[in-house]
Formats: sequence, C-alpha cells, structure tokens
Amino acid sequence: MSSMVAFLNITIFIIILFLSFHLIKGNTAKPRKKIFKVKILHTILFSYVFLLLVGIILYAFIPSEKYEYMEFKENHESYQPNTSFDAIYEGMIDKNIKIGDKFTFNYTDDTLEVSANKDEEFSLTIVVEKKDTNDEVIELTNYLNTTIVDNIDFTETIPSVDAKISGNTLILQEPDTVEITISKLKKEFTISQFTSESHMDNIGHGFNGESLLYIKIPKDLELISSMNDIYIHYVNE
Amino acid sequence: MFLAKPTTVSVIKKQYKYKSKAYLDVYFSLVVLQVISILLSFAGANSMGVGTPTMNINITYFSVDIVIVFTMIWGFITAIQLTTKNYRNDDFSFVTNRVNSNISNGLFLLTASIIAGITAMLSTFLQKSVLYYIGGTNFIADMSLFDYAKQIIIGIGSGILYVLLFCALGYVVGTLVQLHKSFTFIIPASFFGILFIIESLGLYDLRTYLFEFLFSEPSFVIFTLKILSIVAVVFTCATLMSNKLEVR
Repeated sequence: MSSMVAFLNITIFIIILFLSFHLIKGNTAKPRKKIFKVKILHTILFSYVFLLLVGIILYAFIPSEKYEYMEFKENHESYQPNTSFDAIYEGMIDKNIKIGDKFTFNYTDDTLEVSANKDEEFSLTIVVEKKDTNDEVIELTNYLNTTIVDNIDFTETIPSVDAKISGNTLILQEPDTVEITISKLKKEFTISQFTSESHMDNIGHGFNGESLLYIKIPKDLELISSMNDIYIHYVNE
Repeated sequence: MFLAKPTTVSVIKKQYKYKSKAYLDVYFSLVVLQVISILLSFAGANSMGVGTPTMNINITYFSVDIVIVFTMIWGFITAIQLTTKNYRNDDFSFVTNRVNSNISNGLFLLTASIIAGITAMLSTFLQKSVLYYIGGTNFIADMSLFDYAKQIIIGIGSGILYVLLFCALGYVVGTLVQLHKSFTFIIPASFFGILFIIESLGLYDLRTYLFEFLFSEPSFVIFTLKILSIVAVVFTCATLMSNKLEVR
C-alpha cells in the first residue's frame, strides 16, 4: 500500500512537471506540431472505443462466484457476534449457532487425559458439560462463531478441530490455518456517492473466525489436561 | 463591408466544429492516460486482511477509481492548454471576440468531458474482463450485471460532471496564468497556503464542509446543480478575465 502511495506521489509530481512544461511551451506563438496524422489518430481512438465495447460483452459472460450473501445491513443494530458464544459457557446453546464437525466416542474408564497434537500454542476454547448420567459416551461438537467480513458470511469455512481417542488420551488436532483470498468488485466513487451504503462500514464487522469445542462427558468422568495452555471451562462452574 | 454578416451563433458553431477537428490530439493523450491508469488498476484499488490462528481472509477490491481521477487531471491539463497563446491564436482565423471564443472553448470542453466521463466509466468492464480472462481472477459481486449497468449510468453522469468541474477549474487557472505569469506561483502558493491556514487554525469543520459539499452529496440532482453552478461561475469569471488579455 505504501509503495502504491509513493507511486501516486511520483505520478502527481510528473504530472505537475508536465503541466509546467506545457504552460511554458504552449505559450509560444509557434504553430503546434501534430503527433500523428488524423487518420492514424482516428484509428487509435476508434480502436480504444472498440476495446471498451468488447470489454462490456466479455464482462457479461463472467460468472460470479457463488457465496452466501448476507443482507447484513438489515440486522446491523441487533447483531452481536459474541453473545451466542457467551451463552455456551452457561450451557445454553443457541439454535442459530452453526455446527462444524461432530465426534462420538464410547469410553468406559474414569479418567481421560486431554492433549493436543500440535507443538505450537493451542488456541482453541474447550467447554465441557457433565451429563446427568454415566452413559459411557463422549460427544464432541465444534461450534462456529458467526464470521462476516464485508457482507460475506465465512462462518462455514471455519475449520473444525479433529479428535481421536488413543488409549486413555483424547488427542485434539487443531486445524491448519485456512487462507482465503478473494477479489471483490468495489463500486467507483462516482457511483457509491449516490448509493446510500458506505463501503468502509461493512469491512471487518462481525469478524471472529473462531470455533469452540463443546464436550459432553459422562457424569463421573474426570478430564486431565496434559498441556498448560489448554484451558478447559466447565459449564456452570 | 460584407454581404453576409456572421451571427454570434454561427461563429461559435464554426469555431466549435474547427476545434473538434483540430484539437483531436487531446483525445490521444486521454487514451494514453486511461490505458496507463487501467494497467495501474490491475493491482487493486485497495485490500484488507483479517485473521485469527485458524483463518486468514484477504480481500482485494477492484474499481476504476484511479482511471476517473486520472481523467479528471487530464481535463484540468487540457483546459489549461486551451488557454495558452498557442491555442488561443487559432480563434483569430475567424471573425470573433473573446466571449465567442470562450463559449466555443466551453462547448469543446463539455464534449471532451462527456467523452472522457463515458470512456472512464466503461473501462471498468475492460478491467474486469482482462482480470478474469487473462489474469484468472474470480470475483465476488453482490449485484448482477444488469444492476451494475444501471448504476454505471449514474457513474457516467457524475464522472462527466467531475471531469467538467476540473476542466472549468483548469480553464480559470490557465486564464489567470495568461493574464500574468506571476499567477503560475501565486495559485499553487494560495492553494497550499489556504490549506495550511485551515489546518493551523483548526478549522476542520470548514475543511470537512468544503470536501463534503461535492464529494459527499448523496442526491444526484443537487450534485448536478452544484457542479453546473460552480462551472457557470468559473467560466463567467474566466470569460471576464480573458477580456483583459492583449489582442494578438
């Protein structure tokens, strides 16, 4: 971006130089020199106009990428991305929260060690709910926090945590970072000035990009965290 | 004594026709400038990135804002060029006066603004087509071609008005410089001086008002009236000032 600004500054400087030069040069009474013959000039101009018209035809055949488009402006006031996640800590799960991958394991022992299959820092939030019964089933659910950037809903592209049980250890595999690169059409300022939306209003609004792992465990099962940076939050504790 | 007495309208018409053909060079510089700015626009108007440990999102926005801005600068320079002695002397091929000469210049600049405004906005389709078919870029558009085309019409209208405004400003600057060479330094010095005074006195509301007066006007009709009023005042000033210029 800074290189772009520097380039623009240089361009403006060149334009000013060009302008000054023209003012001095054009002020002489000498007749102007024609750069091209009229015929060549006509050819250049019509070729450019033809190119612009071809551009319109080609544009009409560009298919737009299909993305879930959310009319974000309508519920702009009421939208609070973290509210629904806050409620999960109390064990209340909003029906509207999107669900990622789910896992179910049968487990009979009294203790279960939780570890991460990643050397780096584990950034996932884990919420554990103890069931009322000892049904010997562990249920893991990835909840995806609503993530909207510039009117595009990315919630479903949030990667889920993978899980497996090996012996007495629940191994959590944090997913690799998902890289999303998108090209978006932006209305020119000569248009956006008269259409009521402001381009900058929507950017980044509602971005969270995180998932939460919700684990339901049998009543008497004890979870032991083998890594310091895995923080386990127990519902209603 | 002549048998046929030329009327004002016929003189202006002749001058306009002559200028439309003789000043064809200005459109060549327009094409060159627009092609350069279209090439620059391939880098994207701006981009943004947000990220968490699990997700990085980068969005690059594409528009032809730079083409429109370059076209406005072109309008400014072209209008200054018209006021130079080199171009001014062409008018003496006809039986004319300064007022007629200025009106025909105004009509020529109006035509140039219309052509420049249309081509600048239409370049948006060329930009997207090149990016998609040659660059392999996939776009996300939150409107159909038909909806965008409807908005392009507004864009063309306001683009023409912006270019016309800069033509008018260039014309009055050029006329001032022709009155006295010292204006070459006085005008930019005054411009930056006023900006400096506004900043140093903390008159931010005035600065915002001046900016929003045109660039944030949401009503197209009021915007048109504002631009046309400014252009009319500026051209009248230029015409009155040019009457003080020496005869060839």
